This record gives sequence, structure tokens and C-alpha cells, in this order.
Amino acid sequence: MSAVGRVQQWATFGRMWYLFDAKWQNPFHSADKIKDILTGTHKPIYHDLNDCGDHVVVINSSDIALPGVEWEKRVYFHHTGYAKGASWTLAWELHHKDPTMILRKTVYSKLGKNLLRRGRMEKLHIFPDDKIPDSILENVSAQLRQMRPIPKRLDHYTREEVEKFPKVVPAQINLHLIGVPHTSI
Amino acid sequence: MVITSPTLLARSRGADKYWKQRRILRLSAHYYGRRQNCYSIAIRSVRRALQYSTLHRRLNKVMYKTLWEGRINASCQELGTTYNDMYATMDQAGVALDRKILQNLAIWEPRSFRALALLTKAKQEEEGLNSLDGPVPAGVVTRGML
Repeated sequence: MSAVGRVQQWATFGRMWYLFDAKWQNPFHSADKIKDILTGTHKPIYHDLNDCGDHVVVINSSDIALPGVEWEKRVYFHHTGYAKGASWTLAWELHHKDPTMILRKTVYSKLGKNLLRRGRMEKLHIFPDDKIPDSILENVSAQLRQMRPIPKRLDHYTREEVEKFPKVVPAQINLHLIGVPHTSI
Repeated sequence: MVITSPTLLARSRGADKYWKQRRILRLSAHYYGRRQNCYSIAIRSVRRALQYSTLHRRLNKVMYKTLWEGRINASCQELGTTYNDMYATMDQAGVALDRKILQNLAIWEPRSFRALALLTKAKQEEEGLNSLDGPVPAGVVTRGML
């Protein structure tokens, strides 16, 4: 194989490690994208038996944002296998116990219900904050784009940006708005 | 059957049956246990296998079509379109390539596939698909006209 051919082979079949920041993201929408990466459906060489899935490292999973009343209403079912072993845990309770479980269960349920599922879940690495072990961090090669844009906090705007922003009513009023750098509008 | 002498009148039915069974056992050579060697057990498995192969010729086409569509969609997503948009626009653009060829191009000739995808994107803009800019169909009044 020529050098060019070898590069092409590695580029086509090499396993990528993607980083995904789950801060303030909807886990259900994020899981749709993550499951595509884990299965390898985003590649033109995709086949179930090709083992072409990539790894996904999710950080800040403790900061996910469920829509609407999901935190209070969504329940996760578990059965120990013994009699009277059924339990229904609310999303917020589960999140307190283990901040990675909601995203893990979501991706697990979205993957195809076949024998390949367990192997694909092994390629998913979820961390509640942004502390990643070095052995995983050195593999990470790219980042997945977030689906929901994070708005900028008002108190994170600089004074210059606030003053330069176009004003609706250019009246000389001194207002002290909570959380905004003090300026006259 | 030609019986030309009294000795041949004693019919030997063994040879025919042997070759009929051989025909089935040849198909079951890769089966497990007695199913590969014993005719009365093998015939059950072989009959089912032949029925499956007949019925699944139809399923094969469906399976390959979904696989090819998925692969073309993957390449399209990398280039900023979707399979549905591209395939529909290829018709308008006069490119008569089927899914099999397109997925082969996507894998082995990525630059040709990219050219086709960009062609369809340009054609979409020309036709006004998925965009608020461009010519308005007859009989429609938009806000900008008023």
C-alpha cells in the first residue's frame, strides 16, 4: 500500500473520539445526535456489522436541561428481579443520585434494541463535570456542535458592549439594573 | 423406464432416491448435527431455508435500499444537504443516477459525489426550494408585495 493509500485507509477507518459539552442542552435531542455517532450512521461506509462507530465523551452532564415539567414528571423504572422489587424514580431524584444516568438511559433507549447495543454503549463516556481522565482526554480528536445555543448572561457583557448596543430611547436616565454593568442609557 | 429383461423387472428404486436425497443433503452440508447427514431431518431444515430464500429476495431489495439511502444521507449531511432534498432535485437537474451508484460514488468517488451535491444545492436555490427568497409562484401574495 502506498503512503497516500495508507493515509486514506487510516482516515476512512480510524476511530474518532468526539467531545460533547452537554451544558444546558436537551438530553433527548442530544441523544439523537450521539446515537448516530455511536452507530456510525454519519459515515458513508456505514453498516451494522462494520463496527464503524466512534467514541463520544460527554462532559458537564450534571448541567443538562430537561424541557418543561420533565424533571418532575419523567419516571425511570427499575426492577431488582426479586419480588416487590419494582421502583419508579423521578428524573430529579435520579439526577441527584447519579448525574450521568439520565443521559446514559436516554442514549441506551434510542439505540437499536439488538445485541450491538451494549458494545455501542461502551463507546459512550459520560462525565458530570469537565474533569476527564488523561487517558481519555489524549484520545479526543474533535468536538460535536451543541444543538441548543447557550445565551450569554447579562452580567457577562462588558461595559463597552453595553454602551455600544443600539438604544431604543436615547434618554438621559441613570438606571441601576441588577446584574448589568452600571451605565447610563 | 425401459424393462428389457425379466431380471430388470425387479425394479431398483434405490438409485433415483439416492440422488434425490443427495440433492438435498448437498444443501445441508453446513448444518449442525444430524441435520446435515440424515435426510428425514435435513429435509425439514432445507425446505425452510429454501422458503426463506424465496421470500427474502423481496426483503433484500428493501434492506439494500435503506442502507444505500442512509449512506447517501450521511454524505449529504457532511455537505450541507439531506438525502430527500438531493434525490428530489436530481430529477429536476436531469441526473438519472440511482441509489446504488450514488452510494458507490459517496464511498469511492467522494469528489464526484460532492460535485453532484453542490449541483443539487445550486438547483434548489434556482428553483426556490426551501427558501423564502426567489420567485414567488403565481397567485400567491406575500407581505413584500403589499
